[in-house]
Amino acid sequence: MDNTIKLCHGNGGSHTMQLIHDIFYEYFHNPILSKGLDSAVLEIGQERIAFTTDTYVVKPIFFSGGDMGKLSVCGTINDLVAVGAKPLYISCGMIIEEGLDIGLLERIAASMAETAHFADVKIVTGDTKVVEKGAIDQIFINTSGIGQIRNNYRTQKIHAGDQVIITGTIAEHGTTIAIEQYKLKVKGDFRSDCAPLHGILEQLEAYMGNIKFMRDPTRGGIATALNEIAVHSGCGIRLFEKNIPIRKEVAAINEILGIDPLYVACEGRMVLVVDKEKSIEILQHIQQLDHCKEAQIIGECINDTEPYVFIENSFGGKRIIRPLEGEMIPRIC
Amino acid sequence: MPDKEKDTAMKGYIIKIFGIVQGVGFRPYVYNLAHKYDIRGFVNNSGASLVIDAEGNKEHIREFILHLIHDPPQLARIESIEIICRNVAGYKGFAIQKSDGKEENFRFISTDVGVCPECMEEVSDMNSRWYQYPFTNCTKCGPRYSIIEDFPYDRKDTTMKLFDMCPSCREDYENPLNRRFHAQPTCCPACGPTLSLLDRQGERIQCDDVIGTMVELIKRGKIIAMKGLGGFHLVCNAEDQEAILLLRQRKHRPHKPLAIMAKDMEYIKNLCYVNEMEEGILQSNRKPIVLLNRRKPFVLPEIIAPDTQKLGMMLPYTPLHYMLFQKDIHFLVMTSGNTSNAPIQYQDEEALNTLNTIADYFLMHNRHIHTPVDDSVVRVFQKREMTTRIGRGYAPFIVKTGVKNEILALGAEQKSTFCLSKNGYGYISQYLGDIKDFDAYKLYQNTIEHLIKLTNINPEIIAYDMHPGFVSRNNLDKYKGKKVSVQHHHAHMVSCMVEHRVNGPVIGVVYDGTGYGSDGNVWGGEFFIGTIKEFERVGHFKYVSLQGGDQSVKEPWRIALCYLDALGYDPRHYLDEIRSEKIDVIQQALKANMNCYQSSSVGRLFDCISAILGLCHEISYDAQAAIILENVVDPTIHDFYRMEVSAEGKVLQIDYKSMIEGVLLDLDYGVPLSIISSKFHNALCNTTVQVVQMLSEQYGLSEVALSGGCFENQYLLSKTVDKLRHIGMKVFYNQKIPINDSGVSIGQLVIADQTV
Ligand SMILES: [Fe+3]
Ligand SMILES: [Mg+2]
Ligand SMILES: [Zn+2]
Ligand SMILES: [Zn+2]
Repeated sequence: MDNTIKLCHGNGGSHTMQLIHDIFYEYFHNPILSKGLDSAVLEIGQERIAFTTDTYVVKPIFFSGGDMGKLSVCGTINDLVAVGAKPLYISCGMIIEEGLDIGLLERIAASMAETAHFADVKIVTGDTKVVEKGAIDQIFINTSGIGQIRNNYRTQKIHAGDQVIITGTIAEHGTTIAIEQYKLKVKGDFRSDCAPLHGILEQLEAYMGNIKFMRDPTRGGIATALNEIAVHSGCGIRLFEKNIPIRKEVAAINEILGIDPLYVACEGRMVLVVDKEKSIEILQHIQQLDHCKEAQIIGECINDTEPYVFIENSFGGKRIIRPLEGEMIPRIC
Repeated sequence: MPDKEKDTAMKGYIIKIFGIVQGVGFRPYVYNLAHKYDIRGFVNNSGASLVIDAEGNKEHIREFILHLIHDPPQLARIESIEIICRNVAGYKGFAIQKSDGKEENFRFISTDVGVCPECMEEVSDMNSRWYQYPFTNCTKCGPRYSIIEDFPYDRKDTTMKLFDMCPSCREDYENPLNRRFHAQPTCCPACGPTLSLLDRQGERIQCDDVIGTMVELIKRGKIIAMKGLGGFHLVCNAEDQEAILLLRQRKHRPHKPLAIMAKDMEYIKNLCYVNEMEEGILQSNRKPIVLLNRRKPFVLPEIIAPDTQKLGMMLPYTPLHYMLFQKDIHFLVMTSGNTSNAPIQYQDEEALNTLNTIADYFLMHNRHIHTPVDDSVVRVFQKREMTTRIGRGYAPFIVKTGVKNEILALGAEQKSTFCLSKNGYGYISQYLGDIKDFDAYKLYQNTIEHLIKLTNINPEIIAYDMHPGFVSRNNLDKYKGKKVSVQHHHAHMVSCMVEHRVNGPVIGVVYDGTGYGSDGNVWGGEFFIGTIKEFERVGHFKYVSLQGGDQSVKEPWRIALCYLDALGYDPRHYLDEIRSEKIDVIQQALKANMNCYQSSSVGRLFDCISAILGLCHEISYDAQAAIILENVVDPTIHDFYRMEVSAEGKVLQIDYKSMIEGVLLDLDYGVPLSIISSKFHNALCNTTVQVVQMLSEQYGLSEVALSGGCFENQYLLSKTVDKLRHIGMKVFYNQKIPINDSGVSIGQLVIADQTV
C-alpha cells in the first residue's frame, strides 16, 4: 500500500473514518472528540455548548437549490441541531484563489447572510486568505459554529424497537451536484435539499426526551449515517425499502447511473432515532414543518448481536448495507 | 503337536484406521469380518480413529486387513492405516468395545446420506416395523451433518436427542450384529419423528394419511413447502404448467432452471440422456442433482428451464420422497424453499412466516434440522464428476491439503463457502448462497462457528478476499488470528492446483465474472504464471470502461453499450429496445468517468455479446446471459472470430475489438445467432490456446490450470481443454472443488498458509 492521501480518504466513507481514527483520534485523543458526534458538546460552567466546524469545497459553486455560501451555513447549523443545540454564532473562513470575480464573492456572502438571518444565527468572526492562481479551485469556505444545548438534551442509549425517521426525501443534494458537475443532460427538476434544520428542535420541544440520537446524513448518504449509528449503538438497523422517501426523478436518474441513492448526500435532512411509542406523534410533528412534509419512519433498530444495517424489499430480500467504501466497485460475480 | 505349531503361527497386531470410520457401521463390519477370518481380539473407537486389536494366523490377518482396505463399509472413507506389531495376548473371542473417548487427531464429519435399499425394502414391507415410515434409516443411510450439534457423533449430540428410543429400537441400537448398531438417528413409528400437514396460516389439517393428502393437493396444482433432510423444498407437480407458473410468480423467479425429482431411473431416462456414469451418480447414496441433457421432444412444460437444454434431475433420497410418487405423480419440481436471495429455510416458524406467500400448504416434521444443506449439483464432464454446488451428501467437503496451520478462509461473496484447516486437511463448508443477504450472512456466520466447534479448530490465520466491499470483511475483527488478503483469481487458480496436487509454477487461466484485482480494477480474464504462494499477471483481456456498478451486471445491455461506445459504435443501433435517453445519460457518464470501473472480465464479455445479439438484456439469475448464449451454440460450427494479442510491456493484452466487429458485421448480414455464438465461443478457445502457447514458450511451462466461473460453460471448457491438450499442454481444471466462486475459499486458505 502506498502512503499517500487518496480522494477516497475524503468521501466520508470508511476510508475517511479510518484516517480520522488512525491519525486524528490518535494524536488529539480526548473524551469529547472520541464521542464522534456531529458537534462536540462542551460543559462550560453550568452551560452545555455545542461546537462544530466544516469546510466546503463543492463544485459547482452555484447549483440548483443553493450555493456554496448557503451550504456552508446550513451544514454547520445542522451539525449543531444534531446534538440538540440552538445554533447561535458562526465563523467564516475564506480561502480565495487569485483572480476570482469579486461579484461572485459578493453573491456568496449575500447568500450566507440570507441563510444566517433566516436561521436566526449571526456570523460573528472570520478570516480571509488569498492564494496564487491554481493553488485551489476558486474558493473554499470553512465555517465553525456554536450553539446552546436546549433543555439539557442528551443522546440516549438506543434499544431494539426504536424507530428511525428521516425528515424528507433522500439523495437530492448529491444527485443535483453530480448532474451539474458532470454536466449531464437529463430532463427533470433536480435541486439540492440544502436547508437549515433549526426549526426541528422547536417543533419537537416536547419530545426531546424521546429522541435517542440524531445525525445529519451528508457525505456517504443515509447508508453511512445509519452504519455510524449502528456501530455507535451496537444495535442492528432494519430499513424498509418501500418507506424510504425519494423523489421519482431522483430515483430514476440514480437507477440509470447505477448509483445506490442510499449512499448519496443530503444537505437538509436529519436522521432521528426515537422511542417507538412516540414515533408516530414525532413524525406528525416533523411533517408539519415546511421542509419536512415527506418525512417517514424508514426503519427500526433490532437487537441483533452485531451492528448491521440491512434493507428489506417487498419480496423479503434483506440486503446488507455497508458504509460507503470509495468507488462503487461491482461485487456481483 | 498341531496345537503347538498353530501357536507359533499366531501373530498380534494393533491396527489403527483413520478417516470416516464412525457412525458408518464399521465396528459390526469388523466384528463379522473377524469371525470370517478367525481373528480374535477387539475393536473400539478411539477419538476419530478405529482401533482393532487383532491376533490370529499371519496369513489370515493379512487377508483380513486387505479386505478392510479394499471393501470397507459403504459410507466409510479410510484416509490412513497404522499397523503395529505386538505380543500375542491369547484372546478367546472377538469383542466390540465401548469408545474410549480419547483426544483425536482428525475429525471427519460424516455427510448426509440418501436412504439405502435395505431401509427402503422395510419401508415397503407391510410386515415391517418401518412400513411406510418416512424417517427410516440405519448405519448405511440417513441424516448426519444436518442433525449433528457436537462432536463426536452421538445421539445425545444430534437433534434426535428429543426422541427416546423404544425398546425395539434400543435393542437394535445395542446389537453389534444389527444393521442399526449405533445408528444414531435410528427410530421407528413407535418412537420417532412424525409428519403433519399445515395450511399457510399454520393451522393443522386433520387427516389420517398426511402423505396421501399432500399427494392429492399436488395433483390439484397446489404448491407445498416440504421440510426434508437439509431444509425446506417448494414442491409442485412438474407436469402441471399452471402450478409451475404460479410457483415462478410467487417466488419472483421467472427464468432460473428448476430442479426436478423423478420417480425412478426409468423416468429420468425418458426425459434426458443418461450415460452410465451419470446413472451411477444419480443412484449413489449422495443423491445429488445431476445436470443432464434433455431429450427432444421435451414432455414436461418448457418453463421448467426456459433458457437451457440442461435439466437438473435427482432421485428420491428419503423414504418420504419415495412415498410422494404414488398415484400418477412421476416428476416433482423441487426447488429450495427460500425467497429472493435468502438462504434455504430450515426452521418451522421461520419457514411458515417467509414461505406462506409462496406455498399453499406446509408438510412439517418434528426432527429439527441443525445445519441446513441445499441439494448438491453435479454434472459429468469428460467422464469425471464435476461439482457445481457443494451441499447435501458432499458437505463438509474434506480435502487433503497438507496445510498444518489452523486457518479460516472466508471465501467469496455470491456463491459463498468458507474453509477451515487442521492437521493437513481442509474442510470446505456447504454452499451458503449470497451473503449480501442479511439472513444468508447470519447463517454463514453461524455455520462458521458450528464447523469450528465440530472440527475443534482455533484459527490462527484468517484469509479473505481483497475486495473492499465484501460483507465477509465484517468478520475480520471477530477472529484474533493473522489476517491475509488474497486476490480472487489467484484463489481460483490455486483451488484447481490443490485439487490436483500441483505446486506449479503453472500457467493459470482464470475466466470469471467479477473479482477485485491487485490494481483496484475488476479482473476476470486473466493469465497468470504462478505457484500456490504467488502469481504474476502475464496477460489479460484489454480493459474496458464499464459504467454503473452492480447495476451493470444485472443488465447486460449496459455492458454491451459500454463496449460499443468504447469501440466507437452507436449503441442505439444494436439496443433498439432500450430508451434512447437512458443510453444518452450512460454515454455522458462514460465520458465523464462517473461511476465507472475498468474491467478485464470475460464474464462481462459474454454479457456484452448476449445483449448485442438481443438474447438477454436483463438477468433474473446469476450468469443468465452467458447460459442463454451457450445454449444456442452449434457444435458443428468451427468458424471463429479473431482477436489481437499484443504485448504491452511484459503483459500480453487480448483485444476484443475485431471479435466484436465481426459479431456486428455478421449481425448486419443476418447470420443466424447460433453461428455467431459459436464463432464467439470458438474465438475465446482459440485465443486462449494462442496465449497459453505464447506463455508456454516464453516461460518454458507446460502445465495449465483452468478455473473461474466462466468455465461452467461446458462448450468453452471442453473445447479449450481439448485444444490445449492437442498442443501438448498438461491441463487441469476444477472437478471436485467447484470451478465457480464456491471454490475460492480453499484457494485462499492454501495461499494464506504459504504466505505466512
Ligand atoms: Fe470468481
Ligand atoms: Mg461537521
Ligand atoms: Zn438404511
Ligand atoms: Zn422405535
